[in-house]
This record gives sequence, C-alpha cells and structure tokens, in this order.
Amino acid sequence: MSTSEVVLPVGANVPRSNARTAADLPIDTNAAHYVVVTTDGESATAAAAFADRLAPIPVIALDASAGTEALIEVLASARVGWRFALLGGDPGLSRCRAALRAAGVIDAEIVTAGPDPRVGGPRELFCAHCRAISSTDAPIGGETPCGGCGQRLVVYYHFSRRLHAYLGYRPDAEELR
Amino acid sequence: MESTAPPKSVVVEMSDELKLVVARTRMLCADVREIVLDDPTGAILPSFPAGSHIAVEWSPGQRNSYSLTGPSVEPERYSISVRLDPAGRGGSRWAHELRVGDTVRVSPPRSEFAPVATARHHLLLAGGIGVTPILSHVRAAVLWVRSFEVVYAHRSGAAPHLDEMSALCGDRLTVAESRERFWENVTPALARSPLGTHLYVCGPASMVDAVTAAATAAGWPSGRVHSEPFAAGAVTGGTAFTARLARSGTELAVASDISLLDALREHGAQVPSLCGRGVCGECRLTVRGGPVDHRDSYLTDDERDLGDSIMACVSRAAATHLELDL
Repeated sequence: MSTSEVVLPVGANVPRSNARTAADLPIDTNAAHYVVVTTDGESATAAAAFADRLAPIPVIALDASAGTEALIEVLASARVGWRFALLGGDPGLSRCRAALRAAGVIDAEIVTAGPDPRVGGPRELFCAHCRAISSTDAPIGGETPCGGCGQRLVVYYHFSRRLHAYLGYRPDAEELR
Repeated sequence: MESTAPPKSVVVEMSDELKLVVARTRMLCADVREIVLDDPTGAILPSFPAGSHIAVEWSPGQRNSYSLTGPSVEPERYSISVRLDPAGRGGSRWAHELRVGDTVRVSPPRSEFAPVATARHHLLLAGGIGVTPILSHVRAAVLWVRSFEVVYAHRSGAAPHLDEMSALCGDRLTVAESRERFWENVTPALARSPLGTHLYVCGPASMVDAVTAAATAAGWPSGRVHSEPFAAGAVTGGTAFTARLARSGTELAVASDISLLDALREHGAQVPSLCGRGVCGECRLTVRGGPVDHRDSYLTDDERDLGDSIMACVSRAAATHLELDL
C-alpha cells in the first residue's frame, strides 16, 4: 500500500475534521464559552490566532498533547452553550473527542481542525483479538503488528468514537486451520 | 365537478385506526376535560414513546390531535386532556360533550416529541395545556430514573394535572403563574444547564418561539431543543385567496375563515390528513405556483425555501393565488 492518500469506500466510518486549519473553522457567535484544545505540539500558534478570532466570547485554552486530564477537569464546570475546538491530529484529537462524548457533548458542539486521517499520521488501533489499543504509524488499510499480542493486524476503515481507535484484525482470521 | 349534486364531505379512512370507548371523564379545571378511552374488549392498547399523541376523529374526515398523558408501556387505557376552544371548529366542543360509553375512532399513537434517551438531564417546559406531553415525559423520566426538572407556566386557576405533576416531580417542579416568573426560572436554566442537557418545550406557539429564540441566543444547538407548539385558537384564519387545481383547471375560492384543506375537501378533492395542525406531514401537497405562507412545524427551512410543498391543514397562500398539482 502506498503512503499517498488512501481511497476509502463510500460511507467508510473514519473521523473527519471540519477544516484542515483553525483559520478556516466557523465560529458560533451565540456560544457562551469556547474551549480551544491543542492535541499536538504544533498547533499552539493556530490556537492563539483562533482564540483571538473568538473575542469577545470567553475562551479557555488547553494543551492536551500529554493527555486529556486538563480537558476532563474543565468539563466539570462546562455547561450547555459551550463549544469545543480541537486542533491537531490523531491520536490526541480522537482521545479528546471521546472524552467530550463521554461527558455528553454532541457533534454540533465540537469543531476540529487537523490533518486528513487518510494521509499518514499516527493512529490508535484496537486489536479484535486481545483488545489492546496500541499506537501505529500504519495507514488505513495497511498492516502492523499488535502492540499487545504481536499478531499481524490490518488497520480497517472502521473507527470507534467511543474507544477512539480503528478496528484491527488478523487478515487471515477466517481461514480454517 | 360538473355534477349538480352538492359536494359531499370526503371521508378519508385511517388505516390501522382504533375504535375505543369512553370509560370515564372528569373536569381537571374550568375548561379542560380529561377523557379516558378503553378498548371495548378490554385488550391492552399499543405502547408508545413518551410525548406521543393520537388523532381523534370528531366528525367524518376531521381530526384533532391530543397528547397521551397516561402510562405508556402496555397501557390498559389512553388518557387525553382536552381544552375547550371557543374559537375552534368544533373538535374540542365535541370532546367536551362525549359521554361514557360513546365510541371514539382514533389513530394509533404517533411520536414526534420523544425524550432523547442519552440526555444527561432533561429540562421540561410546559405552558398551559402544553403540560400534557410533558406529563408523559415526566412519567418516563421517573420510570427510567432520569435526571429532570420541570417549569410549568399556567394562568392562575387553570393548572390541569398540577397535583399529579407535584406528586411525580416533588421539588423538581417549579410553577410559574406569570410570564415574569417563568423567565425568572428559565433564563438561568438556559445559562447553567449541565453538559448533555436536552430541552423540551410544549405550549402555545408564541411561547415555544420565545423559548427557542432564547435558547439559541444562549448557545444551545438546535439538536438539543425539542418543541411541540400548540395552535392557539383557529389556525385556519387568514386572507382569502384562490387555489387553482392545475390538473382539472378548476379554481377554488378559499375564504378567510376556512383552511385550504377544508376548502379542497368541500370541493370533493381527496386530501388525506391526520393531525390537523401542521406537524405530521400527511396533508402535504405539491405547489406549482404562488408564494406560500408556511404555518406548519413539519417542513424544513430548505423545503420551505423550495416553495413546492404546502401543508394544507394550516398553511395558506402568501399572496392572492396558489396553483396546486391536483
């Protein structure tokens, strides 16, 4: 499989961003509060520029590249009317989105700006056999050993928003021995 | 159309209708009557999601929708509460004259205002007779142990189901007897609802519009705001216009006090309808020409902008003529 853009079947369930860059993200002027989260170390400048665009709406800026704890703390005081902007790539983006969903946030309250998941980038992989979630650089449709049980897994174009991971399974799992 | 016999009113049969019997009635307040309907054989009636309504036939081809207020899981009876509308076309008057033992034809329950099962909290707002589907929501919330609160606004002396709501809600119920008191409670609720709350509002259209506007301005996405507006009085009124039936070439005068649906039926056209108040979609007609004054709650904004559909039971011509594909 080449490393250029993977062609996915129509209806493939993979995460999509609202825009490639924060500059192109729409702003909901009715929002009561915005939480701007960077999920990798590269989006800080974009996040600051986006926060400037949001004025006078109050903004909380967070860095979640090391984990979602800070975001989860903020969620405890969030209310309906808040909006969440996630900037950066996977796997941090999907982990943040999963944390938001777990807190009751719906897609209409989240905007994301990040690279196209079909083009490179690390992603998290759920092993259907040992259930471990490991991080991989393999492209969607590519193959990689499972970080838990070591079996060769195909990175399938099915993404679980709850687990924030792609489905991985042994491509020869159905062959009889 | 060229016969000399006077036009008959057209009976459009409801498929799967239920023939129920009035088991008992009682007045809940001066102008609201509770009517309890049983199956004549004593059978269990169809279960329904909270917030559902039934369409009750009060004269051939004429139906009014009423929310079901009772328990919803394999119920033994359907209970509805009907407010007498002195300016109406006769449906509520008919309901207030029903006697125990009378047969009533109703549609199976229709769900257009159901609770969102994944909501973290339910904010329920009821205005006047709009309390009926909210009571249904409260029953479901208690049954499924959901987090909820209710603000019930009513004119003093006219608070149907207040006792039952108090018993079910306890301190989760706030009663407001004035608009000021209502907003004293609702404005802070819109600003401070926990993440994951869904809002449900039922009452007169003006109240529903005001709540929806306030929620939007407070940052609530439309996916969290669910509403069921009740028509206040006769929705059919408006200016008179002419409806041209393109296929037959005939023109029909629609007077100011009659709905397009009724005018078409009097003319002999077979137009199905169910709810009579613009929420169910049954009476949708194709418009070939003429701007439409949309008064329904069914079409999306995009569908309205296309201008090729009209809900005949409540909507009218925006100008003097409408051309229909009939």
